[in-house]
Order: sequence, then C-alpha cells, then structure tokens
Amino acid sequence: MNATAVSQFHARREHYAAQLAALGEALQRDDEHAFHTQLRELAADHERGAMQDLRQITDDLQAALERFRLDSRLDDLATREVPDARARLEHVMRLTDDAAHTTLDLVEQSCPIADRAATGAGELLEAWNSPRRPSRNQVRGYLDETRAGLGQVREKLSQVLLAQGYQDLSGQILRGVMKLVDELEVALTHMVRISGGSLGALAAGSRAVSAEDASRGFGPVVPGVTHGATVSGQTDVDALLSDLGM
Amino acid sequence: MSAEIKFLVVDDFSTMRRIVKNLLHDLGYKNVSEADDGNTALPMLKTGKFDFLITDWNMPGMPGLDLLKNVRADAALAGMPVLMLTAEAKREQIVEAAQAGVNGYVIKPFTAATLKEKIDKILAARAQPAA
Repeated sequence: MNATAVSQFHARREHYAAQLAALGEALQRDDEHAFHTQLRELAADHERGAMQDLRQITDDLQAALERFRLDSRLDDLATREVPDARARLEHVMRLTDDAAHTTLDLVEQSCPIADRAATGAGELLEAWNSPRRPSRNQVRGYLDETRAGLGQVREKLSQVLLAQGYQDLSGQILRGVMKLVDELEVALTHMVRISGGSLGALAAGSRAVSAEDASRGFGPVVPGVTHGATVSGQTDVDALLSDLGM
Repeated sequence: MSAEIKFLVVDDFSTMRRIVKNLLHDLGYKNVSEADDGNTALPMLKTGKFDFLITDWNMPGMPGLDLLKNVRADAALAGMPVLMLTAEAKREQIVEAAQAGVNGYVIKPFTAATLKEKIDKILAARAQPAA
C-alpha cells in the first residue's frame, strides 16, 4: 500500500471507529435493521476509500509512465539522435566546403583563359591601329585560340552551376536537424515542467556571456537571434570608426 | 614597392583564405601566405617575413582579436598594419578592435572594391610621414 493510501486510512480512522461503535451497539441491542444499515454504510465507505486509493495509484502510474516515456525519448535523443545530428552537420560542412573549393578551382582555371583572350584582343587591336596591320594568320590564330578558350570557360561555368547542387542536399539535412532541435526543445521544456523547475531561470542562465566568449567572437549576425547593437554593413563600420577618429 | 608587400592571411576557413588570396593576386599582390588561426600565425609573423596582416576574428585556437593584441604587444611586430576581415558585427567589438590598434575593419560579406580601398588607405597612411 502506498503512502497516500496509508495517510487516507489515518484520516478516516475516527470515522471507522464511530461506525464500528455504532455497529457494536446495534448488535448488542439486537437491532437487526440498524445493524444491517450500519454494515452497508461501512462497506460503502470502505469501497469509496478503496476507489479513491485506486484512482490515486492510477494517476501515479500514469505520471510514472509519462516520465518513463520522456526519459527514454530523452535518452534516445541524447545517445543516438544528437550525435547523428552532429554527423549530419559535419557532412553539411564538408558539402559546402567541397562545393566552394570546386567553384574556386573552376574560377581559378577560367581567369587565365579570360585574361589571355583579353590580352590577345588588346594586342591585336593595338596592331590593327598601327601602320603594320596584323596578318591574316595572326587574326586566325587569335580567333582559334579564343574560340577554344571560351569553349573551356563555358564548360567550366556549367560545372560551377552544377556545384551549387549542394544547396539542395545541405538544405534537406539542415531541415532534418531543425526538426530534431524542435523535438529536443519540447522534451526539455516538458522535463523542466514535470521536475517543477522554472524555464525563466533556465533562460536567464543561458544568456550569460563570458569575457572569453566576447574575445572569441559571436559569429555572423543571425536575424532574430543576435542581440545588442550591430552594424548593418561596411558603411556603418566606416562611420563608427570615423567617430572613433580612425 | 607595394607589389612586393608580403601578406599573411589568417582565417580558419580555407575557402575564405583562397578568396582573399585570389583578390590580392588580382590587386597585384603576389606574395601571400596563409594561416588558419592566431596560434599558427604568430610564429610565422615572428619570423619577420611579413609586412601586412589580414585576419579573421572568430577562429578556433587563438582568435583574431588576441592575435592583434599579441602583435601590438611584440616590439618587433607592433607597427605592422593589421586589417580585420570578419563577420563580427557588434558595435562594441568594432570599438574593441579599434582600441586594440586595428588599422582597418572590413565586414563580411565584402566586395573586392572594399578590400582594395581599405588596403590602399592603410598603405597610404603608412607612406605619409607621422604627424
């Protein structure tokens, strides 16, 4: 029997004693009607008490089950899904890094081709304006080289286009991680609620910014998340530095 | 002379280092080295082989602000031009960088024109005799 049931028995002890005394009195008086009436009342009271105890046990069991469900969900989140999310975010980092390097490779390969075409055109133009005009072979040579070069640049631009495909993949992975963060938030809020803690105190604790954080930097401004006075762009930075005498 | 300037670009993201290096090349600066945080950069700077430091702020290991402070605290490096190239956008941070002795502050995302303008301005100020 649980603690609540025991305390209910204690609370009803006097009431039971009175009922038993009345029952004994009726028995002594040989009053059959009064005896049966008292006995029914006693049985009904006892049944009411038992029902109350049962209801309490059911409530306790339900709360324990809920806590168990939450505990096992949190356990699952902490041991499996959060490490999974970390691996997914690392994969996103790799995807973006690879795509950026691929794009940079292609741009670096294209720039000298464009430079050569521009330089060749400049030289040809200069020769065109001089008394000794460029020969047919010179013009043909330039056109051949430029056509081949522009074909390569066109091919590289298509590859740059394809390299942007990472956005689709990383977007889908990030959306999955956002869903997990939502679920984690709900589970933690629930846990704080059933443990009787205050969410306000939790939020206040997480807001504290150490000098170490400030020295390390806060990262890019994220709309709706970054707090405090921020600059909106280079013009703002220049104005601020100018105010400081720089 | 300016094309001979030896730059050290410090950023933890290799893509950003490549972007800055490419832009510097386009501006005619061919002598560009890279480091991925302050801890790597500081010993490189102490070799005395560099003339100009371009650094990010938010990096693992030693962040850019600490690198700047270390540079200013080192007698041999104290006069080195330092350009901060960062996404850090809090006003108090910009003030802190200025107080620590930064010569220029470029906020990410940035343009090639902004980078050129700030480098030119710092070099022009260096070329002028001290007032």
